[in-house]
Amino acid sequence: MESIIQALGYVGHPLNLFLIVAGTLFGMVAGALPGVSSSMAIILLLPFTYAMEPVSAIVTLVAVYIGGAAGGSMSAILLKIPGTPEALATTFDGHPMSQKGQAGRALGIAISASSFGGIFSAFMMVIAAPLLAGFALKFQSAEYLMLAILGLSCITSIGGKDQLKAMVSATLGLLFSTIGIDMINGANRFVFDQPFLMSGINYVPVMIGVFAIAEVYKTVGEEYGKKKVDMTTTGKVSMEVVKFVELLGMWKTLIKSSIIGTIIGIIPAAGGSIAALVAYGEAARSSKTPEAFGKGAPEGIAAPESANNAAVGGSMVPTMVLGIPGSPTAAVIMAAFMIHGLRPGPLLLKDQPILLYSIFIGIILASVLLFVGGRFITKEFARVLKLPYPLLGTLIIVLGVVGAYSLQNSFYDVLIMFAFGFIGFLFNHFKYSSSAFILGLILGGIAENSLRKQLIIGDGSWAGFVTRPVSLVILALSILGFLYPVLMKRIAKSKG
Amino acid sequence: MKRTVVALTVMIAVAMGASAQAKKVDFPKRPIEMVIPFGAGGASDIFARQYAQLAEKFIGKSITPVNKGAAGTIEGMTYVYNQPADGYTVLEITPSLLIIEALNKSPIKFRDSFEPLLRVQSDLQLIGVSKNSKFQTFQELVAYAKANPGKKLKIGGLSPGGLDDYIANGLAAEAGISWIYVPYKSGSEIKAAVLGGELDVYQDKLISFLPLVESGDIRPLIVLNDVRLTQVPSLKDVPCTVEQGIKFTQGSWRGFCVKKGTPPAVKQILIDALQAAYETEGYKEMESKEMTNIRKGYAKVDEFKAIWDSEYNGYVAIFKQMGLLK
Repeated sequence: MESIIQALGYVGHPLNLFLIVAGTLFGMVAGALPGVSSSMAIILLLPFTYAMEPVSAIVTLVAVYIGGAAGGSMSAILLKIPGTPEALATTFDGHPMSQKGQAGRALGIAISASSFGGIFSAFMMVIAAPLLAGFALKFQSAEYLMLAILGLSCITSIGGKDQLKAMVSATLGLLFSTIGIDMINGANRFVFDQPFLMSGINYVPVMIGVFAIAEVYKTVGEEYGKKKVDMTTTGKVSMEVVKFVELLGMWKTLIKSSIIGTIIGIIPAAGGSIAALVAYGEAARSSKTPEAFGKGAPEGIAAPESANNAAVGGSMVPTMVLGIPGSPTAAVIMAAFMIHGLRPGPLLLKDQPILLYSIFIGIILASVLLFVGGRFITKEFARVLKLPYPLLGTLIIVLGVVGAYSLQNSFYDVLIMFAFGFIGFLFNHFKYSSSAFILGLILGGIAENSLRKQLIIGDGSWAGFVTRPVSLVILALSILGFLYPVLMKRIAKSKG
Repeated sequence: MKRTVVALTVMIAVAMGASAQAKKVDFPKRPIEMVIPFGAGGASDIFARQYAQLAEKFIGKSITPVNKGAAGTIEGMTYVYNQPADGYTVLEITPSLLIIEALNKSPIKFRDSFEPLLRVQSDLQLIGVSKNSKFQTFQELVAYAKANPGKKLKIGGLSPGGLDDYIANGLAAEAGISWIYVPYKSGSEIKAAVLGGELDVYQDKLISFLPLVESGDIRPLIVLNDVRLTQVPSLKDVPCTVEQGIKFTQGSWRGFCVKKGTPPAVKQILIDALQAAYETEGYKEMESKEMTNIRKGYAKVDEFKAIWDSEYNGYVAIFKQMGLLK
């Protein structure tokens, strides 16, 4: 208790408050820019924290993380470019809602849900940090494979009407994930002597390609041949903000997704992007109106956004307690710990009790700030939709190129983005699912790697996947999740 | 004959002029790019970023760190190779670049295409086991491995055919045992795998290893070094490889190089700045925080060049044993 009051006094210092505000805003803007992920934003800010007190520095960086996890949704909703990988699932319903002219509402839901997820996970972090941290160690290769399978089982929920085409798309994604250096024996696979293929196809440029660039191609295709290019506004943009009652109505989705987000955040090699996908799949599966998903369902925005922000608090748990970062972004924050002479690990909480509570207060303040201040910022961002399409389309392509390039400062990623823009265009045209494709691409690497590692560790035996309890439970959940939509249809038919 | 004499005189005059010019070379006129051939956030990235900040004060122009981490350091190396040899692009290096050459992964031969500037620091690698492990000492572990060739122990590391793989196999070869190397994607996964019981043996660099020892989760077995680490209280009683008759002390190190053909005067200016940064209080502080000051890493140009060659030969020998090279 004493530590909380001490931490309050510390974080409450005007300078620290200012740093949290600045950090959150910086995170939001960086998150909105495709290619600048939360971890990149933190690295950019890191040199400015060298001169700060360790606790101020860490709290500022955590605020950036919170802002970044929320900011990615802005470009996802408005431009169909996920600003960060965490915002991938937000494009599924966020962009359709924005296309219906309800951009303000979509952004409002996203920001409010983010804020809720952040606060939820901060409380989970403080109440149960040492208990939860042990859970991170239950996750070994077998469980990672099952987590990937759980993620893939969402395909039936996001696949829409044509399940077969969704499966084909996901399989293609899995196939593309095998390109590059074999992660177990180091052999080159499908590299064709091209060094840029050695590290594989990164999913960020692919994501920008199949969503944003493909969408521009499509719109341009529709406009082509029209005599006069419409240089007036693209359509009506309602700035109506989300009503509080609507948020309250989604309390179940918000809490469930925040729990999913916190748990997946704790798991070392899975961050907010997987948390958001799993939460989205779960929201679609348990919804009374699953057919509305993918067409602008409010729960389809609230679920991934609350999950990816909840993953922030979750990922800080093993970082501080075990010295094992819960996400790539948390790994960067851990590097910052070390620069400031703090050694994450069990002793950290004993030596620096104030740190945990300061991070807790920092996450809550940053989340509240998102909720209050975010509404004004997003409103300004949404004005971008008032641009006539020729300008908006150009802007999307420019942002896409910058985003793909800045990921690794590699021009090949820009080429990959354009190539997948074309592939995404064909996918849309023939009604294959780009989302399922991306899902396969992201999860394929984790699945293959974990499967093969578990087989090495088990000396070639497959038993580990079912004899380990956590692995077995996730497998059962995946099978349920996979068959649920199909079963529901059967039941509905037999009743009707 | 007369013509050749004239030509020669002209050539000598030009050469002398050039060298005279080189002495008061105007460098740098614009910011210098420091290419980090790794993704953002790792130990080598953070090191280079901090070092760039220290060194730019001495060179008068800013040093901009740029991450080019694609294709496992090859992209960064290729990028610097394709820039003019004018000293405006400096490459951060670690053993990974020598390993790429040893494994023939890139058409660019690293040692033939780059020239060393300065090696700044050297990291120590340690071997340990989970607190729940039955092994109390490294000898016990070796004895078990020798007695049970059918039940191989598993050790983790980052990336197949990388430095960790080399260290695991090189150490095993020197100790006369063999174990199975399992590659992971990140350090955090390795730690979780050891603490969760998936891996039998843990290897890591000092700064990441130490917190787990201090918390009691990891039992340190051996330090890959020629002396014990008496400066670190919690590790002062841990034996080192050389005292046990295992002549294997490989760890990571970090330094800088430029493309071959960079004018000597320009190189000297870069070396002076990097050297001045090395001597600052800021660097001393950074080193002690990251615990890279325990084994001397500092090596000047000639010594650094010799290290390249000797380590390269070591890599080739072990990779041949592992069957990665014919």
